[in-house]
Amino acid sequence: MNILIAEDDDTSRLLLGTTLRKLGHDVTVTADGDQAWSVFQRSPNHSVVITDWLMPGMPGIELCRRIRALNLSHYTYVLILTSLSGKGKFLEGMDAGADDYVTKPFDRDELGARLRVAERILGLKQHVDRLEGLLPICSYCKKIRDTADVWTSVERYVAKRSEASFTHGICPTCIETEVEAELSRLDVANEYSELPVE
Amino acid sequence: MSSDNQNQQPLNRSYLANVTDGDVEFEEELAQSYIDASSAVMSHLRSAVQEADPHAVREAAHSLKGSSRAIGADGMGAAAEILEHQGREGDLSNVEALLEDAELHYKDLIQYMQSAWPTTK
Repeated sequence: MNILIAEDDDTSRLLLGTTLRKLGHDVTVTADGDQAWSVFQRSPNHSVVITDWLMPGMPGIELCRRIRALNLSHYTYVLILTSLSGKGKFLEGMDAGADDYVTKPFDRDELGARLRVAERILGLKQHVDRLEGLLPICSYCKKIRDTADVWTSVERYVAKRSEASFTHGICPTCIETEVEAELSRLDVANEYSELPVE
Repeated sequence: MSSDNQNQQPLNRSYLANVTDGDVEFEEELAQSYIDASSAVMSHLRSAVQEADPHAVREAAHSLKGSSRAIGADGMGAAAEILEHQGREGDLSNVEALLEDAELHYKDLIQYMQSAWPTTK
């Protein structure tokens, strides 16, 4: 994942940045909240932001609030990594829009596991966004145009992108407007076919 | 309050090995980073105590606590935490004695690091 770090302490920053790189992530390191905010505004495509709480200038909690206030189309997972502990601080952090809260000193394996959770949640969010997105649909046949510019039936489109499968039935409106009309047409046709041929 | 860690090793090597995933070069890099950064923070802490500035005591001690605990310098981290607490409470009545305690931990820690990693300066 593409991770932005805001950590003012040199040694903690070196430890965190190197640990995350070793875990296979792309890491951008900043030395305080102001710097992190300026980097994030320039490139808001970071999928995860890990921020300390107490830093000179902008505190991590304010960085979190500002990221949420941007209301970006993609989701940014925010993890507060701080030596501040206790229920009050945890709740304050989560209320500011953080997704996770880890107290220092961090455990390498635990942080790795929490980032795997972040990856899972971001994946699910992308999945939901795809399903909720604006879909071009044919006004006549109701086929949907997918990202490869191919027109696909609604059933096939949904089945390919979700766990849903379809059972086919007929709604009351269609029974009235389509089925009964069709049956009437067939009755009339049968009546005509039963007439003696002259 | 006292940090009461005089009998412990200045650095928890098994913690450091765990957090660096056994990378000895990285351990040395962290030790050098700590030595480089902490001397300025210790100076800030001394000035803050001298000037009886609780906010500055809190900030410097918080920083020392974080970097010390990050590498497993638990005794130093505990001494810094007590100073941070006093700064937060605005109670600097026994802060000179607490600083003296932190200075002892700090001296032991730096000596330990320089002996464990002779290339550190």
